[in-house]
Amino acid sequence: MLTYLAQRVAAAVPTMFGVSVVTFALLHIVPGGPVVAMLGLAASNPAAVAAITRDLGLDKPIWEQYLIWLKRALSGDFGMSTEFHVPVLSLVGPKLAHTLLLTAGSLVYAVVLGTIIGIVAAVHYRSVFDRAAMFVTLVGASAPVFWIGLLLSYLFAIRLGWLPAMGMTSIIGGSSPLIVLEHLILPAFANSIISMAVIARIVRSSMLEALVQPYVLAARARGLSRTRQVLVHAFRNVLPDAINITGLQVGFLFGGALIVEVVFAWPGVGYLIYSSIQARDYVTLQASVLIVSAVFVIVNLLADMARIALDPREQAA
Amino acid sequence: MANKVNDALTDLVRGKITRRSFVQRLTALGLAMPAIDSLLRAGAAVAAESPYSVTGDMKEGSGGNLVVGQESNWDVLDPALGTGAVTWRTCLYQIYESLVSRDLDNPQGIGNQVVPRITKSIDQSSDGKTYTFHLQPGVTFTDGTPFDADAVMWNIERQWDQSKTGKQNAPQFNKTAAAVRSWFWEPAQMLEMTAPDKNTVVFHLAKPFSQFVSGMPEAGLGTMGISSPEVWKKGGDAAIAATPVGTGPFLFESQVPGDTLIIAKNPKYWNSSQAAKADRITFKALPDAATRVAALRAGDVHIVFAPPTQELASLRQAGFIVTARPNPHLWYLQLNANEPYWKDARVRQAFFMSINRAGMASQLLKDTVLPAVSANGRTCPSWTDKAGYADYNPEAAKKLLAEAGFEKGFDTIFQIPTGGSGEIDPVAMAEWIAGDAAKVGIRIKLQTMEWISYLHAWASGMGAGIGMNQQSWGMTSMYWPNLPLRTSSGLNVGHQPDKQFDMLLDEANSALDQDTAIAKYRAVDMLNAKEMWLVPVVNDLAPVVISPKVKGFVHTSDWWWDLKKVWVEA
Repeated sequence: MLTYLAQRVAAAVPTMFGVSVVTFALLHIVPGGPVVAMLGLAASNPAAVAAITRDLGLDKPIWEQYLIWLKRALSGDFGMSTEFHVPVLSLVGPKLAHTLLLTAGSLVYAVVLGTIIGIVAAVHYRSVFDRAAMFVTLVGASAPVFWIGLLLSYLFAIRLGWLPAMGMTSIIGGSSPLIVLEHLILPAFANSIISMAVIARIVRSSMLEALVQPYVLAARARGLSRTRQVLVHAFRNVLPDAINITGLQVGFLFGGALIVEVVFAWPGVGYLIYSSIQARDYVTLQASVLIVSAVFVIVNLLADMARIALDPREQAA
Repeated sequence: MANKVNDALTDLVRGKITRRSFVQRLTALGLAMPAIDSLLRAGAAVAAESPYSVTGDMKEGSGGNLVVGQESNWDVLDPALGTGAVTWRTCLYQIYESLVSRDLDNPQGIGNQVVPRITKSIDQSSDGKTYTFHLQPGVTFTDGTPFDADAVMWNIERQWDQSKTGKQNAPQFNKTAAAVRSWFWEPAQMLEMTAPDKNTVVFHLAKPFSQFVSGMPEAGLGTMGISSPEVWKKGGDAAIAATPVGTGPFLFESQVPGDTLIIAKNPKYWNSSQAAKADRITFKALPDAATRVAALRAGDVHIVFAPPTQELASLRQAGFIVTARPNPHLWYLQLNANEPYWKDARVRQAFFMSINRAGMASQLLKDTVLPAVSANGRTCPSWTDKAGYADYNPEAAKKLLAEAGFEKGFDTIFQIPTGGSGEIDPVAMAEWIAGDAAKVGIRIKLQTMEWISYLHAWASGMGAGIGMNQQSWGMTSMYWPNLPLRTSSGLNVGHQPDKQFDMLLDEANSALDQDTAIAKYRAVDMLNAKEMWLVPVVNDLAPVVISPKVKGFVHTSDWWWDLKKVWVEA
């Protein structure tokens, strides 16, 4: 296990390096740069553009700019945002925590509801519930997240007035954990729907397969209850597939959170990346993408480790 | 005569002309003042029935936390460096004050007159080369340090490039600030500033500059908001961005960059009669238009800017108030003088006459804009609907094209952003223009770009093959046409070559009194109506939607939003 972990960590280094190189290169390919964004209409003054470009070091060859950035980043200095004029880490840190909270909330919805739907649909194979659940999950998996978000917001925030329409805290009511939880309900649910549908379908098919295995037949022969057959014997063998797909969905939920954040004005790293692209804030964007990539690598690693820990066959391998 | 009176009344109600212009037009028709007065009242009554009002409920009171949903996030909270429209338009204006301002909270007429703010009075020398500003005594920054002549000069030295007069720049000089504000300091040709006493600043110019005072409250390319020098001395430019300190009716409380900015009432504001009414204002960045509207409907925010046009009717039905008003905005095109088909003025005129601007305003944009009839914004003192711009007339346009040898029309390319500051709905508007132009034989191919990429291309000037591009801007200061129409200006992105514009602009810039300046700047507009290098299309009314809980809201007639008299009913 430790050897595997060391190999995965070692493999993450070139991945992160590649991400940083590609991000840096892509940023410089896109027309318009931070100087144009900073000057706005005054970018029509070529002397000013040249002077500020020189001051920011953007006149140096791209590889030299990259090396300067890398050297600073390795010492923990990610620079100052050209849009907000504050240290980038002070921007990204809190927003990343908000995005992780949204991802975690979405994951809870996706795993709990997806698993329940999958198990019930498999146990009641070809029943009305099974058919309805599979139809709804198909629609859920196909619907754009932002559209679902707007529908939920309209129904629960505007029509019914049960939940807040946007933000993470109440501007007037404050920011207690309960208020944050209240604000989390809609965006987390909107973000979870696609993953929930995927998990439900995988759990259903794995469960259908498990339910016809000899060990379940044996359990039935021993006179165990249907619930025990399903939850104790069959479900344990569904778990590796469920964890595997959940691990993959964590990354997807994290990516989806970036879109949901704009719809629900959730102050996460997604909107920061969006506005950094618009403002050509290379410094913030570079740091944000790198940190988000690191989160992806870590999450995938944790999912793999969880799968190995829960599946004796993997441990033996 | 009855038709002319009717036309004038219609123009007044639609906000096309000011009350002053209305009176002038009717006086010229020979009407007596009592008759004009009664027509003014009638106009006001009709205006009150128009779909968009100028104010919300003006009930007296105070208090509350006003929550404002903005269409994008603010950038750096530094008056010399914040170039994003929402940054200076709403956030900075409440925290910082400039030497002079405009009358923004007056619901009547057009507030284009410069009014003193932290300046008590201004003296102009007879030769127009010296301006003496007498500052309000007893004003302090919200950090407790004094606002005085030294503070004013310190701020100006931050954005005035003295190296151009052979002097050394001050330690606080900032190249970016100087670049964004160069449009003002370069024509001002200031030689030096002096402070005879702590409440007086004297500006010495090399030659008269008629827009020296009126240019000061202009924004869009930097502002002249005065910040506390002490903040910079403690932590440089980063400190100004992190803890902005001005003399305004609100003081900075906290911000989460890109999400929420909170400002609170300044309890020690120097002008108690103009003190803030709300206890606190929270600005919330809500870039998605549907989210902004949802937040308003759910009661999470009280005011939203840039609402989707298609939502306005249902929002009004739901009890929200939609306000709109003319401001300096102009949505315009510039034609590339290097493209052979534009060499003939008749072709340029034909193109202008092919665009149904009134149709675009009413059908496409649901009366949230007015058709433009001048190269100036509607709040500019030199704005006139008599500059001589031709009416929409596709038949006449076809004839002109035929006379110029383009019976079969021609192909051209129109560069346009997909969105951006003040752009309204650029692609739909460009498609409308292309559709109209096609009817007279001008075949337009659209080339769309994301905003910053577009800004980069636009600022570089139109290259070969590009026939036209678009921008949204304008000023209340009459200086504005110097930017797109002066041959040497970087904003003359179409490379218009006519030196007559320069000559007229020089005369207008150096006029010694405002009446002469108005006449001269109007002459520039008239020349453009004839030459048509700048194609005016529409003026935005910038609709805003407010909750009925919001009291004292006056829709601005300038770029700036003055929120000090706004409060929220519990």
